[in-house]
Amino acid sequence: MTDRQNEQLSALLDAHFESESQCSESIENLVRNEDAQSSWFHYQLIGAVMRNEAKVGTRLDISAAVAAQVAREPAMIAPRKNMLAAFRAQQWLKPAANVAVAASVALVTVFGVMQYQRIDDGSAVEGAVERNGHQSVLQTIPMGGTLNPVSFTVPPARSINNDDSAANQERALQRAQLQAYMLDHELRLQWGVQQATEATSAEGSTEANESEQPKQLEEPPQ
Amino acid sequence: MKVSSQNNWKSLRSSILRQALLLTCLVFFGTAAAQETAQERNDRERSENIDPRVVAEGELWFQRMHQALTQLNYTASFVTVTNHSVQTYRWMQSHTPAGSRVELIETLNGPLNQSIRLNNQVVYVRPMSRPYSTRANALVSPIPAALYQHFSKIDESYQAISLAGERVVDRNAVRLRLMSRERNRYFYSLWVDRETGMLLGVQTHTAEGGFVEQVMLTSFQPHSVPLQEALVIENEWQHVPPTQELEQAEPRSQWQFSNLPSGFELQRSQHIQVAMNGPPADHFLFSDGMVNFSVYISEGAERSTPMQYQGELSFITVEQADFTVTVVGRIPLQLSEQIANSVSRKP
Repeated sequence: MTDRQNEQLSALLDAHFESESQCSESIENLVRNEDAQSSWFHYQLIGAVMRNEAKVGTRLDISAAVAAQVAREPAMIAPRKNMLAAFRAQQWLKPAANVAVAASVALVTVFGVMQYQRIDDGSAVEGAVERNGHQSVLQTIPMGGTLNPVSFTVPPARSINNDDSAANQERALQRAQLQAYMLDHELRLQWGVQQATEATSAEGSTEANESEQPKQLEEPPQ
Repeated sequence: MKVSSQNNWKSLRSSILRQALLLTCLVFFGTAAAQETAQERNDRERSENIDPRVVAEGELWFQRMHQALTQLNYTASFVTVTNHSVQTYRWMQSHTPAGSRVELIETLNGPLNQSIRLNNQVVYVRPMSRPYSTRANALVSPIPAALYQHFSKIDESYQAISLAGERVVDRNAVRLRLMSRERNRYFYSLWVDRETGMLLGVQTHTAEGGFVEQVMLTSFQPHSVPLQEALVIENEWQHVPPTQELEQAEPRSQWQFSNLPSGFELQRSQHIQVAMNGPPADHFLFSDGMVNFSVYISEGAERSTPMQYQGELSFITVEQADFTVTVVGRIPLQLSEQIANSVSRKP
C-alpha cells in the first residue's frame, strides 16, 4: 500500500474529505484492494480496542465469510414471465355463450379506470376503485381534470362541505354519469369504427349521414 | 406669472397623459395585430406553404409505420403518461405460421386489462366482467387505431410532416408531426424507427402545444420469425367467447347536427342503453379517421345532469328544450361544446 492509499484510508475512517471524488476514490480503493481491506480491519480493531469495545475471542472479521457466502449463492435472474399464462387462458375458457353483452357491460369496471380517476378531488372515484379490490396506479400530479357543474345552483365543487349529503349525492351522481358515458363510449369503439359503418350506413336519420360512405374492412390476412 | 406657469404645467401634464394613453393604445393594438399575424403565419405554414418534400416524406414515413404495424413481428412495452396518471403496458404483434395476425396489449400495473386480437376478432379480458369478444380490425388501446391504417384514411383531415431525427428507445427515430387541418382538434407527434418503421412514441397535444397525453415505448424487440406466443394464442382461440353483436335498434327520434366540425363523418347511429345503468339514448358515433366522438341524446324522464369534464377525453352534457345532449371523445372540450349545442330536432 502506498502512503497515499494509507492517507485515503485514514481519511475514510475519520470521514474527512476535501471532495466527493476523493471520497469515492477511497471507497473504490478499499473495495478493490485486499491490502486496504486488511488495513481497514486492523485500524477498526485498534479503534475498537482503544474504545474498549473489542471482546476477546469475538470474530470481528466476517467479511471473508460473507464473500464466500455470496459466491455460493446462485445468480439471481428475474423470473421470465410466461408468455400467456395458463390461468389467463382459462379466463376465456369460462362458458360465456348466454351472457348478453348488456349484462357484461353493466359489470365491466371502467376501461382504463386510471384514466378517469381524480375527477374532482378524486376521493370518491378512487375510493370506489379501491373498494372493488383494485390498486390505483401511480399518480403523477395530485389534481387532474376538473368537473364543473354547468348549473349555477350547484356550489363549486371545492367548497362543498363534507357534511352536506345532498351536495355529496349530487357529486356522486355526476361521477357515475361521467363514468357511465365514458365507459359506454369506449365500449362502442370496441366494435370497430370501420366495420360498424357497413352495418348502419344505410340509415338516414341525420344530415351528416347523407355524406356517409361505407368504409371497407381493411385487414388482409398476411 | 405663477398662475400661468401652473396652467402651462397642467396643459403639459394633460398632453403627456394623452400621449401615454395613445401610446398604450398603440402598443395594445400593435400586440393584438402581432398575435394575429403569428396565428395567421401558423395557419399558413400548416396549409399549403409547407415544403411539399417535407409533406411527401411525412406521408412516406406514415406508410412505413402502417406497414410495420401490420407486418412486423415484435415484442414491446410502453408507458402512457397523462396529466393525472402513468400506466405501463406490454405489446406484442406477430404473424403465425398459418398466416394469421395476432396482437396483444395488456396492462402491467394494477388489475389485468388484456386485449387480444386475432385478425378481425378481438377479445377483451377485463377484471370485472367475463371476457367478451367483438368483431373489429383494431384494438381499443392507447395506440390510436388510425395509425394501423393507410394514410389515405386520414389525409382529408390531417397532414403528416417529417421533422428532424431523434433518439428514442435507444434507436434512431424520425419525428412526424400529424397536424389537423383544423385548429379545433388535437395534434400528434409520432416517433418512427428509421430501421424498421415501427412506431416508437405518440404525443397528443393541443394546437397551441399544450400537453394532453404521451405514449412512449420503453422496449422494442423485432423478431424475424413468428412468435411462439402468437401460436399459443391462435391455438387457444377456439375457446374464445362468441362474438357479441351490436344492438341494431334505430334511433327513436330524428336529429340534425347543424354545426358539425369539418372532416367528421357519421359512422353509426343506434338507440342504446348507456352502460352502467345509464339512461336510454340515441347514440351517434363520428370519426375523422383519427379520433372519434360519441353523441348521446336522451329524452324523457331519465335525463342527464348538465356538467363538463376535460381530461384526455372531454365530456359535456348540455340541456336543451326537451332533451339532453352528451358528447364524449378525445377532442378538446370547446369542440365538444360546439357539437353538443349544434344538435336539434329535425323539423
